[in-house]
Amino acid sequence: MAHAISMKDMGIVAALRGGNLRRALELLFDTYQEELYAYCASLVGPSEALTVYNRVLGAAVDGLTTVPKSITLRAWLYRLARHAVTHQHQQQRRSGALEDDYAPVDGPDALVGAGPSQQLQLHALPPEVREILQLGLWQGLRLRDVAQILERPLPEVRRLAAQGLVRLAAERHVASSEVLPS
Amino acid sequence: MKDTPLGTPAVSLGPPPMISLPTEADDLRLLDERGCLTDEVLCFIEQLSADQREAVERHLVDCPACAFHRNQLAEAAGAMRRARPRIPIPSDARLLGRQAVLRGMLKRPRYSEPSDRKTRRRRRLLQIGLVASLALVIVALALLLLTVLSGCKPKSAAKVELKVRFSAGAKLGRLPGDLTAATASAGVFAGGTQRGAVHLLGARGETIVVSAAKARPAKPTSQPASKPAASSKPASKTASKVAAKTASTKPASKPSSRPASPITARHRGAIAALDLSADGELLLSAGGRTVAAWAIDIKAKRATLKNHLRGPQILTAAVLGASDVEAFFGTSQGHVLRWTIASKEAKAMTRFRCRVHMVSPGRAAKPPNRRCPHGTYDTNRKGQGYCAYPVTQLRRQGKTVGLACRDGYAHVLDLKRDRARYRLAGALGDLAFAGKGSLVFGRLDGQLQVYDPSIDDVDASMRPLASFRQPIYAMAASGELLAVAGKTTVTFVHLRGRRPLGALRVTSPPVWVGIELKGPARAGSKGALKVIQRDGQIARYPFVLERAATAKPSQGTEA
Repeated sequence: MAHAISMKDMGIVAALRGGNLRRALELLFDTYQEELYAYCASLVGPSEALTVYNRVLGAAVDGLTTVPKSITLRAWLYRLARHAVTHQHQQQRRSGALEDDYAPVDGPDALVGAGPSQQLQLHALPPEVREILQLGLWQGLRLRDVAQILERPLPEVRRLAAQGLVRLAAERHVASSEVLPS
Repeated sequence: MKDTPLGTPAVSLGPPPMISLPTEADDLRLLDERGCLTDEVLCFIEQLSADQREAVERHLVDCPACAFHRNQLAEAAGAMRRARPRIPIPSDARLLGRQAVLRGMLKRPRYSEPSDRKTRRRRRLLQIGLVASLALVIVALALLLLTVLSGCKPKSAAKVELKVRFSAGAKLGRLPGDLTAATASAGVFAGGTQRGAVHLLGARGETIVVSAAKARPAKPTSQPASKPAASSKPASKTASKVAAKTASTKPASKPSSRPASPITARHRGAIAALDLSADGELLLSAGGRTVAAWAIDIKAKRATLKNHLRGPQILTAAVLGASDVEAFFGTSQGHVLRWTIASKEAKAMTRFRCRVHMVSPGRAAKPPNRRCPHGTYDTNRKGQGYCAYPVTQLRRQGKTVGLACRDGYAHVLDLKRDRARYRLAGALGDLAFAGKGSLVFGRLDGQLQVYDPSIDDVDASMRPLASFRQPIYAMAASGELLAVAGKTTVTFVHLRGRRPLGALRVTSPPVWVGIELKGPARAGSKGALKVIQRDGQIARYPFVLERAATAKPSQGTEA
């Protein structure tokens, strides 16, 4: 399978193939550090974001040379971050297992910046749908990347995303019809 | 008309137009059963392929219901995007990124292109190594457990507590004094003097001089006419072509008198080494620049020169080979030569020799006598200076030859495989083979060390055995019993003993010692110690091994 290389990753992959690991790491972090940190902070809150982010960086340094060819570097970084957040939540709960439908979207300040109405609408969605919408709409990831991050099949991710968005649109329609005079 | 949760549009939109796309493409269902675009398509139109997007856009132009529905979804998605939290990255996080880069460089300084196959192979090798290590650890633990359970200890750990009791010695004879080398075998004693003479003494008092100190050969009856009888020049190689010459016989009371028969191989300089074959009928002598082999018939008081060689370097050590048809001798330059006694030349052993030490330019600028203490300074073809150190000892046990060098290293040659086995540090004084192939190093600083070849680790297998206050000149071994000759004493040591078993005081420094002992050294064993002293005196001291009652060391022990 060919490498899934986006335009942003061209320089990183070129540095890797040239054997310049330092340059590759610098490019990787320069390119993705802001959105990666924001993603971590949106999941666990600013207080623990640095811890999780540091863990993600360590995992990225360890595994950069063995990234699977079927995944983009961006999606791979998000997958690392998601695993780190899951690990963090597991540590906090001090229990060996999480619920089956667990999705790392329940951070204390996960919806910082969102308006009250959006918060209500988002919280009304199931966690797994909410996570897909956050990755797709907030982080701007393609559904194929979201599927790889969540390690779920693409049709299922597409179906859940559509389902969530239709529900959000319906709630918006109901809210607007309640506000507007009939 | 499309019935969606968003409600019904205010105007009638009519039936949906037909589009020319297949209903399913890339696992994505584009149209539902009513001919309208599915929600999955409408939600993320921008992620469709170019062809799909174009067809969908055409459909949206023609289908107001789908367009209305798409607008609703786009507004919801836009609202969601606008509600995205803005979280700035703190400076600490940027710093963490830099640190991670540095950590990565320290952790993995070299990088190769990622290869799944390579990674898998590496992982597999790692797993195999781990499993093998685990298996070895388990086997070792099992063996240890078995050893502990069976209550047996390794033999090397069992210490021997013996002491030796000497009886009054008996003088066997006397050779001319000032001996530099001596040996004995099958009742024949041989001694070489400082002036280059070699004397033999038989068990019944027969004495023979096999090499004269001075070049005064009498006019031989069997000497070829072409060779000047009174020539003072050393014998050449061509002398070996001459038929064997009969050496002199003389009475025991006058060992230093002039030989009556011609001597065809002379040693100019001190005798460095003597070696007798096991039956006492072949003598090897090395001294000066000459090595010679003699056929000895002690009963007939006759010594016949079999062959001899002369070379450019001073000879410092010699030993007979395993089959008595060859010999090894070492030179002051550290070379070891293998000589088939019947031949007229010897071959240098390139891999079995004392190593040379390269000299720094600073030392090379010193006066010649200070460049190489105890060695010889020379330069190679490139003009680089080096020090060559002489061979000090050559010893043989069976098919194994030991070589000691003046630089403090010893080498062992396996005659079966004809290659050097290992190199060890030790043996400036004497070298001896003890029981089971152990190699004992007697050093001039009095340290006695033993190397156990059954342990592969050279560092672990070399252990100190005893320490003496005087240099070790000669050693002899019988099984695990060891006689160590210092300047004034001969001390008995057991290879597994904690302390010396006892010591015997001698009047002159021993040149050679030998042990007569049948069977292993244990309590009640009787034997005899033979000593040839530098003043020429030969004595035999019977001894008995007894079990040591106390830990008190015997009187006269120097350790």
